[in-house]
Amino acid sequence: MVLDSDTTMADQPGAKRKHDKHVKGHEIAAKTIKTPPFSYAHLQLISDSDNIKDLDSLIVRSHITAALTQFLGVTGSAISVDILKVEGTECWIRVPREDLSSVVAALGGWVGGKENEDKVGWKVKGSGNWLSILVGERGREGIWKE
Amino acid sequence: MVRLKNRYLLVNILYPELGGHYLQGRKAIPDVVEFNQPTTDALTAGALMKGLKAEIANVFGDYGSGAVSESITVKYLSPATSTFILRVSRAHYRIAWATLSLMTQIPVKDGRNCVFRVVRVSGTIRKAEEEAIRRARELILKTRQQLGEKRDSILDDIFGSTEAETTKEEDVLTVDRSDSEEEKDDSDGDG
Repeated sequence: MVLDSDTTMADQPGAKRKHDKHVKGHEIAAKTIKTPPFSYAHLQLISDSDNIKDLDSLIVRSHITAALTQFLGVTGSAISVDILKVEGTECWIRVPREDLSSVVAALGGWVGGKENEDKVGWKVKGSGNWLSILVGERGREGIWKE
Repeated sequence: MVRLKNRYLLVNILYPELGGHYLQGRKAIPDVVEFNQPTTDALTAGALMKGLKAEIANVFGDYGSGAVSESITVKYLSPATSTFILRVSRAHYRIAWATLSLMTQIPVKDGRNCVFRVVRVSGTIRKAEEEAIRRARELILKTRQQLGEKRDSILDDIFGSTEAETTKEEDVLTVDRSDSEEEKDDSDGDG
């Protein structure tokens, strides 16, 4: 992400004309963030059965920990996952940037649920470095489906 | 055919729980020797592999097991010197190394507490072997040094011992394998 900002000399009341003559151009500052500290993912819990209960933070936490522990062991369960928001059957999480690919792989491949109950799993609806883009992409799926 | 690259880890098994064992003559065993004491014969290559794979599955999960399972082998194991050489694929050798660091006891029934210390990583098994020989020689010299001041007086005490901490009086004869043996054969003679 590149931020450009132009700064020009502000006009002051009674500005010295002599000083204005030396204002040649704009000052441009650019900053590129190559390695943001966190990455974000948008998840949805899906299941075979039609009636799936609404999620709460505890269920999200236990499902995510189970998925990470199965795929990555103790080191997986140690990945710090922050649950940002839980809404219905969807949730938003934040992980350190270098762990995003491992977490997405772990969540995608996990199947949960006891033997006599219906299976559940995570669907990764989006993941990336910038939360704003993830939020903006929410309506993307509904474009072609009426 | 793409060449499969491996890494060979030379690993020592150390016993840092110094128990204050004594030789027949009530003289203390040097710490160096007690650290590097022999391992029980119950540790076979199979037992070591089984314990290591179980620990990898515990620490690194399905990903770790899958990454190293095809390539991990015990190439050399000597319980007497508590040393072994492990072969792992080059891309994932750090998984095996980290797992060894986190293992705390010998992977046999009622295994003793120990420390697995990786002392050398090399691309060929030959360099790992040479390092093992070099370290064994250094260990003997260090032991003799520690016993050095009282060597004459306790010679009788240690002479009859059958444990590994025996040090004989004769010089340790070692022949160095020259690294450039093959190069000599291939080089063009200039004159």
